[in-house]
Amino acid sequence: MDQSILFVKKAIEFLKIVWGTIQKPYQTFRRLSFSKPFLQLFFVALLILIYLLLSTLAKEGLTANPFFLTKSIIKAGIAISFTFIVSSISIFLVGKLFQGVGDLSSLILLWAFSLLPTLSWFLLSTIFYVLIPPPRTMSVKGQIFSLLFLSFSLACFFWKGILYYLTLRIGLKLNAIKIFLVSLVIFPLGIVYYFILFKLGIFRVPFI
Amino acid sequence: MSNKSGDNFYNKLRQRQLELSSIPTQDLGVADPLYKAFSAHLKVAPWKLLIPLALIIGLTLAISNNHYLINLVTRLQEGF
Repeated sequence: MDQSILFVKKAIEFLKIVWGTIQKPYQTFRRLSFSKPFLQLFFVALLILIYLLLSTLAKEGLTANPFFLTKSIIKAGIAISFTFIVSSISIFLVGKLFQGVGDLSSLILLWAFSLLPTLSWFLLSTIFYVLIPPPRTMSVKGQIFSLLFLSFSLACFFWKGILYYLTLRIGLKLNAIKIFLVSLVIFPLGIVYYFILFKLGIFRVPFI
Repeated sequence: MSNKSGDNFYNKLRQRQLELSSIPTQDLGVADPLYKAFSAHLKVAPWKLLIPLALIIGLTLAISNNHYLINLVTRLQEGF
């Protein structure tokens, strides 16, 4: 009973953090960096697992071989974990080159929470793939949906941009100019990495 | 007589002050006023600015090149 109450309390805390990243991202990230609630990473991992389950079922179908489904989930899970580790360490090392001050654990915590827009986009895309599968058409409904979907994608992209900026600003105490310089180094590396994963058929849209 | 509620309040206030001062201020020189004016809109409820901006960009693309919008969304939907 105590365990379930604790779980519910932590879940509510997680939802408050999620709302905070939407409503007051700077204050929320600053609080995360200061209080370091690493237990909350459990819920981020849980959301990633839910996404992996839904997306694999959506792509392969409910009647697919369970062994094949499990293999797909594990492969995608390894790719996401590896991408997260590589991106965290890259940002940390490049940030340190530009005199960033901070520890890797704080950066990993903030970078993990910056996955919220990524997860939102991927989860909703999975749901729409099942409910309104592509391709889109030139009909009125097709155009309206396309406009709304693109707007949602852009909003998630901007949200991600804000959280990326705050990860560097608060996690490594860099100023805006140094964040720009770090990005000039990180983004080309990220593009090369994404290109390799795209060619390997692991990601079409990068899970970053 | 102990003043526990006062101590708790003081501790909370102190923690808050430490949290607020944990991020150093930045000075961007000439660009500072512009940066501060822009970032003020992104610190609280940035969605009020970003959602309309996303809609405007989407509408602009829809008006200028409908086919590209449809193709782009089809590819994005398949990209999850």
